[in-house]
Amino acid sequence: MQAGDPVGLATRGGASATPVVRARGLRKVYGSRVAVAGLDLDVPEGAVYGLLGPNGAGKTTVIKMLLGLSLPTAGSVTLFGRPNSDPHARARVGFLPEHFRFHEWLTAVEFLDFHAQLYGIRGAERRERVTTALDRVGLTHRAESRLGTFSKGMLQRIGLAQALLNAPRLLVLDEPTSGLDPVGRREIRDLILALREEGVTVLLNSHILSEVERVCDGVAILDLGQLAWQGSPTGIGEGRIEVTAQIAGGPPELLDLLRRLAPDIMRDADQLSFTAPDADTVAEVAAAIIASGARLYRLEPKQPSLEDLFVRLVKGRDV
Amino acid sequence: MKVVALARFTFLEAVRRRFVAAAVGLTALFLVLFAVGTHFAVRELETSSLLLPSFRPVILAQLLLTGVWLVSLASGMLGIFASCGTLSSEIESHTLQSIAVKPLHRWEIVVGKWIGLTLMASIYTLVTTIVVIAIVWVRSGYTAPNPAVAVAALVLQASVLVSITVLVSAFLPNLAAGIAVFLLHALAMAGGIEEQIGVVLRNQTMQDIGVWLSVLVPTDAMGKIAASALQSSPTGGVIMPGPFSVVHPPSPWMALYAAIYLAACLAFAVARFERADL
Repeated sequence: MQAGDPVGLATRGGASATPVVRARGLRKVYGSRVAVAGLDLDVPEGAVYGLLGPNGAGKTTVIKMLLGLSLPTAGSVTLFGRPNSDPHARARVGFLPEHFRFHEWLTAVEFLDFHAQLYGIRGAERRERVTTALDRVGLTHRAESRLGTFSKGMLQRIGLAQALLNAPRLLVLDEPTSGLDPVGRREIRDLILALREEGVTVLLNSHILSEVERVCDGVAILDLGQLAWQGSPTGIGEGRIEVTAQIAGGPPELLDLLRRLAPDIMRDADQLSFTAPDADTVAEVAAAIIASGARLYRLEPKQPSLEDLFVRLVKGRDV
Repeated sequence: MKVVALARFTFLEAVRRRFVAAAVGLTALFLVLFAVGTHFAVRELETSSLLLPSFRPVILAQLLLTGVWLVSLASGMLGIFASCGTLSSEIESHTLQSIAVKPLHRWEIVVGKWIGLTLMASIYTLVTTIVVIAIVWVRSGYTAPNPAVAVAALVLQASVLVSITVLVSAFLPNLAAGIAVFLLHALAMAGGIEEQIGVVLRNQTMQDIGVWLSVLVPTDAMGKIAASALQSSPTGGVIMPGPFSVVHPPSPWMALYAAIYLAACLAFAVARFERADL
């Protein structure tokens, strides 16, 4: 496993250091196929944590094991420091499944009222929570409509509403934006960011890398049931800036001069390419080019994105 | 409270199903036809000079047993096919994921669903059986020896069938579970008929097969207890054999056995569901 900068994974706001989700040696085997192979995972309190991976990497299996929906072949999971089999541990958990199918004969209010009962919320408080949840996902105007008449996006939102009924401290979203239009995606993203401001821990399983990169404090990339990388999306570029430059002229020994600063530098006609450990090195290379008498027309440092990292990890495995 | 919420929800979900509505509609039609048939049968009995008056209760009992047997068959089918997807199809459709993640034990889900389904099947059985008994009583004045016992036995029969179905639905997919339980119920009925024929023919092997099948699936035994509580003999002695009458009623202890059997089915369903991947 490769590790990124752990700073982004630190507990936000100096709250309790006990991870909200802790998995140790999590393993799931179906027959002879190993779906998850000994996963260790900590999701700190208050973080928005992304779970990424190619199809079949075991992401949904991991989420199901974390929530007690699937029993691990080996390993353990705690939520808020308690075993996930303990209903009290799940009292402050909200969950929007990926392949959800709700009871379509219910109205939105009846549906939320039923789920609020399952959370053990009673009487006037239940009515209030239902109203608040409907308002939060923008479905107040459809409160008395049957779920069977809802569009995919509206079903996604009502699913999110049922996950918010208990004012969760941990919200687990499995592909929450699948099937949503750009406006719907943005609304979900804004909601996740608002929840983060409220101190809610969010575990997000999504295959949309840009989405994860925008909202997540920490990311775990799974591949073939194993943790391939974990760290902060903002720390991905640190230690590795890819730079391209366009130059003209310069002495014959220019490349040797620059190799002292960037050992992997290569020249193809008037194009230079190299990687630098930090921005200072990039500036030093630029200064050296100019000092040598060459003309520098363009210098383009590029921070690797989460997508670059993801592709590198998955392709690296295929090689 | 969570079990009650799940039971109420399951009950409402069951009664909203189209096939349940169809079953209720067809049952109402059957009851009307049964009332019309009873009216004309009783008129024939009252005017016929071929039948000894002492045999009238026997004929009326046969009429009543026919009606009760048909509604018990319908209630069994209703219980089986309303329950057959309760665990497996909800696991397949992922409906249970958003429920099982709530702060409740898995046994609460199974028990809540069982209560809702049993309540639905029991109410159907209770109402239809009472209506059939009432139709015969109102038109002919025939009073069954123990109608309360008959109703209780049939409600227990429906409850046992729901329990078996909930258990089987933890292993088999929707339709397969329904067919499997219906075949078990049919096997029990075949065993019951074989036992009664064995009594008439005095063949011990046939009787033993029937008894063992009633131990395996005690649903038909409950039907026999109900029938023996409804039938009447001309002299208070030997029962006249008929397609729905009982020559040799099961021991009353079979009702206790059926109750234990029901609880065991539920316990096994819970144990299976506790280990299921949702």
